[in-house]
Amino acid sequence: MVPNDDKISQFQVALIVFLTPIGVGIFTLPSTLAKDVETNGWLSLILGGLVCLLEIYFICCIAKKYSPAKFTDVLKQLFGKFLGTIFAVIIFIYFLIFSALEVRLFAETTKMYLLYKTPLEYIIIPFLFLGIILARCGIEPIARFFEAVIYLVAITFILVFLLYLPKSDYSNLLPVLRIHPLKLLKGVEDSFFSFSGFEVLLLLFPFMRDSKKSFKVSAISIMLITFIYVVIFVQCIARFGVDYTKTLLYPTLSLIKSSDVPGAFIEGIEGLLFSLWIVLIFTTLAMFIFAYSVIAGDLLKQKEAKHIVILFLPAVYIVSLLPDNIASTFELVDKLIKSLGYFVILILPTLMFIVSKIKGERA
Amino acid sequence: MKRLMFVFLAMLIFAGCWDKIEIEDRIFVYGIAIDKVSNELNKSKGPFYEYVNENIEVTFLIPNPSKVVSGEQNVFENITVRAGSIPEAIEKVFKKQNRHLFFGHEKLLILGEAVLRDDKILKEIVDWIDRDPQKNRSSFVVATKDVKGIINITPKLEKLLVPYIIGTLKNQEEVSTLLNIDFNGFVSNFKVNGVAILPIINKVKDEGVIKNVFLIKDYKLLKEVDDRYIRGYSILTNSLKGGRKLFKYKDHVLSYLISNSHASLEAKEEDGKINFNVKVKMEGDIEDFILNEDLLKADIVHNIEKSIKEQFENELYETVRYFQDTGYDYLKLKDWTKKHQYSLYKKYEKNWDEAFKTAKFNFDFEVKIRRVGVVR
Repeated sequence: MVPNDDKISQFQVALIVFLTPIGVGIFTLPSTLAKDVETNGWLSLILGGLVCLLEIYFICCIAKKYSPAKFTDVLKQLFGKFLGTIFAVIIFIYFLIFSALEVRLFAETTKMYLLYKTPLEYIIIPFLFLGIILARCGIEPIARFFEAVIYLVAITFILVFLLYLPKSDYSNLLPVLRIHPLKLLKGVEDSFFSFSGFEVLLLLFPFMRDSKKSFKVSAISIMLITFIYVVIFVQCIARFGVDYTKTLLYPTLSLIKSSDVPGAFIEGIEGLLFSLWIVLIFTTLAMFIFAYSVIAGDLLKQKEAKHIVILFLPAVYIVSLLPDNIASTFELVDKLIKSLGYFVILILPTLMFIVSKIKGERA
Repeated sequence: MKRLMFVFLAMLIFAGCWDKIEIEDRIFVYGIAIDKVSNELNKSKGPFYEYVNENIEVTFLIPNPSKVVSGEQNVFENITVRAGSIPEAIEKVFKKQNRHLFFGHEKLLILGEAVLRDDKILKEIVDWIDRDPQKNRSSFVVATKDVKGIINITPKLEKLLVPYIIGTLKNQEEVSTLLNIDFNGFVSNFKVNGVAILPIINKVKDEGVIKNVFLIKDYKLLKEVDDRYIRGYSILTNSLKGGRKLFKYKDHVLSYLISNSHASLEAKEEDGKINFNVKVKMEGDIEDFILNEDLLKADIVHNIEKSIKEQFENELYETVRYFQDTGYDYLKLKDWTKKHQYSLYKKYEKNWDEAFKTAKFNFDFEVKIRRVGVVR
């Protein structure tokens, strides 16, 4: 019997780290990588995954030391009250904008592929409300929801693999490693940020029933994500070739679109896959909403995260409608990642790790 | 709060209503045929650019569901409009038909020769299909010299024209001198390099016959290539799926049914030229032979193999020479070199066409006859 104490098990942690990063980024990833590193995207994905593992290692080391303490308290202990609060605010803003952009990109994609005439606002609002309903229930219902949908996701991926494996030209992946190291670094950067979402792990430790294996389980999750990303990249390149993939906006969706099921007993499989994909985006959104509510709750010394969730809902909605068009949305995503993203998922865990080591030695 | 939530959730249900189109209000476009009929430029100076000229003629091939059900013979309806561009053509269809055009099941794109000669229109069409996520990316693309003729064919064994043409194209598996190109394959090369190969279908008497291919270069038609070079092209690009080769043996023209072919390339540089060594392994059966002559002897089979091998090699030399004369590397060797011999590729990348023209080729066929039928 699983106790109903708003704590999550290690398996649920693994699921959260696995399902949160996979969101709308997966649609555009192959074309970004093809643009920057051509055929070597798989390598940069693996390297990006390794960097990600390193960050997770840092996070787990910090957590081991300060385990039951809340994240904002840890920040305050490490950097002092003033700096700690500022960092927490930055992370809060990051999660808020990120959830807004996630919703916007989801709505744009849905509008383009499924609901052509439905106003953007009407796609965003119900989706946000659904996210809120889940997020305000707390971490345990979220984790249980994740447990419920993982089978759907697994079926989706297996379907996709089976459909595309035999029909593509894998020689498109050649030449291997013929690339300038600096360019490869750019690819690693792209890939690393495609994992963004794993940083919710920072907040999860106070909610864990037992955090001993958290590094192991999240590492497995990240490896699985890397594997899925690599497969999708390889499939896109093998199907379309590097030069054409570059020109596509959503290569992953085009890949799904260009499927022809052997035997052709069903057609238009993309509708099915797309609806399953919405679940993936929803998991990301629910987790991000929960993440910002936790931080804001700590900052405002408000114990009930429920109310915080709704308090900032208008902000999420407004930010999601800020960009004028799809191009400026992508620009904003880029800006967010280049500024806040760097800080939150790359610099902060490293900094926390270093400071905790220094402080630990002193103690 | 719960009631409020209920109201908000109700929005979920109604959110879909904007896109509601009843299935009987749709026109399922099965094929699109595009031809260019005039050369006028859009001379409009004012803010109105619509309905100024009618350069292209677009025909939407649409199955009529009620006719399909009642089992009538000709169930395709052609909706033809003249317009300046395809979006305008679609608009014009809306002006004369009550139903909505739906492109999700589009299976065939027929391009007239005149369209292929006009790079501007061709680019527009390709971009229009490529951009819209609704379009079917695995639809086939064919060229024709006579769009009107093609769309008015009444297939003999099929009810619908489009499956008839697609079925013929899919016979690539049976005929070695036939190519079928789907939109994915067409657009990737066309968009990036401005080149493509398209099979030609023409009306001969009352049938659609696929013969020859068009080469496209710089986004427009370059020339027509005879069927005889297609097998060589397929062998070199490893896209041969089946078919046969007729060969000469003792004054008889006999048939070798190819069941498997694999070409492996090697490239070397020799005195400023690229030297391609092509090894082809081929398996197949003998389909017909001379009556009452015993074929089932190892040395006879070996002789025939040798003779087929020589004839294949000659065919490939001819084919390569022909493509070298066109001035562009349609044989995808640039791609191959980039993938497998990157340093060589880097060296010749800038003037690849020249390098391809002067490249030398050596062919080495390994032809195997696996079966000879049930007669000795």
